[in-house]
Amino acid sequence: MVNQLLKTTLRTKLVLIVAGLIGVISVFIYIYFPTRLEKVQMSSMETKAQQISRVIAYGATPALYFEDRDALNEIFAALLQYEELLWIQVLRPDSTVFVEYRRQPDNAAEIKLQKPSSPPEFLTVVQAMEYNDRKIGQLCTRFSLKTLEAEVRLSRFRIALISVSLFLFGVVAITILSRIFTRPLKRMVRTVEQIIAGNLEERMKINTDDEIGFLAREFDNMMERLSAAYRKLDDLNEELEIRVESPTAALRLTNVQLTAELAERKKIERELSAERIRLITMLRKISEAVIITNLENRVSIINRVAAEITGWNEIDAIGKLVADILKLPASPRHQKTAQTIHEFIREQTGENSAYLTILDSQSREKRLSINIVPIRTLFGEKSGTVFIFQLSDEPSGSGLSDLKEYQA
Amino acid sequence: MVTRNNLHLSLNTKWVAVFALLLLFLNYGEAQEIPVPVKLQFQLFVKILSFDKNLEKQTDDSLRLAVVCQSGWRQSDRTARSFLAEAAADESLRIQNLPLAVRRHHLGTIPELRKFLVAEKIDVVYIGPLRAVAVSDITALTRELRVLSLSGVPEYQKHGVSVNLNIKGATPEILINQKSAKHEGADFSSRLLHLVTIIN
Repeated sequence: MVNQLLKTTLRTKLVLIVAGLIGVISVFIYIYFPTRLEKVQMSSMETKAQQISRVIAYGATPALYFEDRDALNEIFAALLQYEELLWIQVLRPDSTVFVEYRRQPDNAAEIKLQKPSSPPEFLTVVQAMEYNDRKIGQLCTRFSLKTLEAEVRLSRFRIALISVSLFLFGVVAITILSRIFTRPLKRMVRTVEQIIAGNLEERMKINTDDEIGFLAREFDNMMERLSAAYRKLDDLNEELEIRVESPTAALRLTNVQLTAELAERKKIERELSAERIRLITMLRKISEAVIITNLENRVSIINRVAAEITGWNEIDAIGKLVADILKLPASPRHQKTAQTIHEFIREQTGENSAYLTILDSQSREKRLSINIVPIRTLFGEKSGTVFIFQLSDEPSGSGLSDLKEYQA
Repeated sequence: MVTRNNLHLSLNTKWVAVFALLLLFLNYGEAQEIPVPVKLQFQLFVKILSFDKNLEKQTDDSLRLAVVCQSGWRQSDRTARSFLAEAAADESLRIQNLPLAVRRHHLGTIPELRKFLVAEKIDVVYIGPLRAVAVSDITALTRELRVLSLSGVPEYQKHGVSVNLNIKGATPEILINQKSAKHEGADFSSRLLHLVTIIN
């Protein structure tokens, strides 16, 4: 129940709680006040009866003392105005009745007077009568409580009416008040929902001077600032897009060009690869040893004949300096042998061919007839060197001796 | 023995004797003084009579009141005249809805008084200060004729006057001889009786 109450809206909570409070107050009023009123009225009736009895006794005492029945009749006649007074009896000290007065039995109360055993409907007061400090008799009076009961019933009905009216009025009032007070809150909730849905231009527009109005105004101001920031951000984005658009186009063009170039290059590479494979295949088929180096004089291709002559494994030879593969006999100048040989051959013969002795991988000397051809691009730039050689039967001391001398 | 010479008293002696006699009479009159002023007496008696339950039965068309006085005595006469003047002051005065008629009677003999009371159909007698008169004779007559007797001389209560007035402290005191009043046909209400001094 409490959980269900907690889940309801603020207005419903307010209405339920205040209506409950008013209901409790109304029930309290309905229960407490009639009882209290009845007690007060009963007490008031008792006081009134005692006072009337005292007044009657005051007037009746001389009449009893002087046995003036006329005076008593006058007194009793004057008491007719008290409708509650049903019965008066003046008794002598010996309890004999001096005078008795009974209202005419014209209603049920008078009939019941004959049965004094029903005390709730009557109030009986006994008053001593004294004259000159001597008791001369007593006065018994009996009052009807019908009027009192009728008044209590009427009061109870009125209080019930007031309680119900109070409850209904309270419920209606709190419903209206809760509507008035929660209307701004409802408006705020709707606005927040709109903003959550993406409508940043929605505003609360509450112009009251209370806390809710302050909160709403500050929220609207905050949303104004936020909207302005978003607009500014959008403007910056647009500007950035404009700024970035032309370089992007150039880049896109470049990218296209590069892609095309890359494709061309890949095509060329494929062709080159094919060419290389054909070259390697061709090199493997021929009977001469061939070593091809790059610009850094490192071996990029070595065929099987060259590998057998040099004693190097083809795979191990790839990437090695050609001077390590075609190693000349020990000499501090062997590092430069290939170049020196190349330069020497070109200088001596105008061709890059000669005889020379190398050390294979087992350090065995081998006599080679070698031809060295530079590789050039279409633009004439050197891109590598081709070493073509074979074992030679040429004895040392010919042209190659000149080389040895040069090496020494 | 009184001799003629003795009777020839000097003129001064005669005047002294006359003055002594005058003082004697004056003292006798002072003994019957009325402590309550006549005006107040009249007002009180009017009130007292209004509490007599038999008054209306015993009267005809008006309440006849006789003022008994002695014309030869100045105080008595003055009291009577004052009482009459008070009664005449308010012509519209009514007691128990009866107009009041006041008569004056110069007391002579009791038979003359009886004759007057009967002839005038007197209902109430106010007895003024009297001298050399047996008041008890008057009250015996009023009992016989059932005429209520009133007096402003407190001493007359001893002689059976039904209603007397006296002063007690600073306030008047009403003295009612209930027995005598009953004999004279009066029946005062208990509302009056519990306020007065009852004498039996």
